[in-house]
Amino acid sequence: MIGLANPLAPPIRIEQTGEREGTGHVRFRSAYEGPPGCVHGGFVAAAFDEVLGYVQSLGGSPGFTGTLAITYRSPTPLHVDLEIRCRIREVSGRKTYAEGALHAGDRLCAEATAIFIAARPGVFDELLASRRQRTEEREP
Amino acid sequence: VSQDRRESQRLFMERWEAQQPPSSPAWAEKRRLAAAMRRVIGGLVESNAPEDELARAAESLESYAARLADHPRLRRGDRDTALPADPGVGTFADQSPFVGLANPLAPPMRLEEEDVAWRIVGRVRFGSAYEGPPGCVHGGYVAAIFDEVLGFVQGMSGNPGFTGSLTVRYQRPTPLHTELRAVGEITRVEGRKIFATGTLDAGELRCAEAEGLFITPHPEHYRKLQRARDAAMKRRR
Repeated sequence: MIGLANPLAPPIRIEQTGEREGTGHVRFRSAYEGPPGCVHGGFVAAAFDEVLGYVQSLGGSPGFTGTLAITYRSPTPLHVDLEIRCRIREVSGRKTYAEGALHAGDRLCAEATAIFIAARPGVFDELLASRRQRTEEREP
Repeated sequence: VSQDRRESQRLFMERWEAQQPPSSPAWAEKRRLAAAMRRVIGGLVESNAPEDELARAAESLESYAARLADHPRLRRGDRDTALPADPGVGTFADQSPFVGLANPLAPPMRLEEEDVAWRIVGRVRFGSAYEGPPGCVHGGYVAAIFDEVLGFVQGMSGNPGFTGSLTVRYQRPTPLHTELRAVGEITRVEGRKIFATGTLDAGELRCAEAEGLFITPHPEHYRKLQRARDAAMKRRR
């Protein structure tokens, strides 16, 4: 979603705007269309996952997405600069609660809440090791 | 009730199947080009090619992008009105960013009907370009796949709506390079509201579940969006 070396990425540009908050800036083009002239609802959700995922990492207990809930308020336009403002609401044990809103100018397009759950130690290393093994298996 | 369900589903699937063969030789080539671009996208993300190889590829793609921009833009209204009974699915098979064979962003997911009313199964395998955690599908694409599958199945109600809300619960990391099975089902319809649920499995493992609420717009609202898009296209020419 943000990767400049990944052609799938719109890309989103994320800036930290406070101790526990950040804003994603993005403009979706025609390939991301859902309803006529509007961003596909799936990419609205995906963009929230990315920016909320960045913001939750500022809370000191970064984790994987546990729950993501999106409320769509109005169609999100294509070819327009969008702002996705997100912040941490609370960190409680292994859980980080975050929320965000997507605006096109003054218009609210969607809102989101998410719970991220810190993985037990070692999970990330296990994923890395299993990816390394699979990459070798897939080597031409 | 079950007879009505079968009938609304049959009408919906008829329109969907009508889109499966490419609508013209040009659209067949567009699907072929998208397939090639898809291989480039996956290959680029995984590749450890040296600088000069990447620079040559970038130069040829940049010149191709400039050539493509010289051609007139697609008059999307043409495709939408090709299936006047349901403009909402008119461009789906080719243009959707998840199932569209002519859209290089699409993995693509394949949608199959099951012998149960108001249920659809999506089969998809994500490559490295869709990676989030190491070796796993980005959580955003998991959510997006649910939006697509639930968004498709709710159309079987006969009165397709826009996503009102979508909640995804992640149970375990979703693996890349693995055939996934996404099931979407309408659970109930109340006036303009359509409720749907979905599951995503990798073999025997449940990766995620979702619930969606879809709201049928007034027909005039949809036409307004189409007119606004056509006007915006003209301004961008």
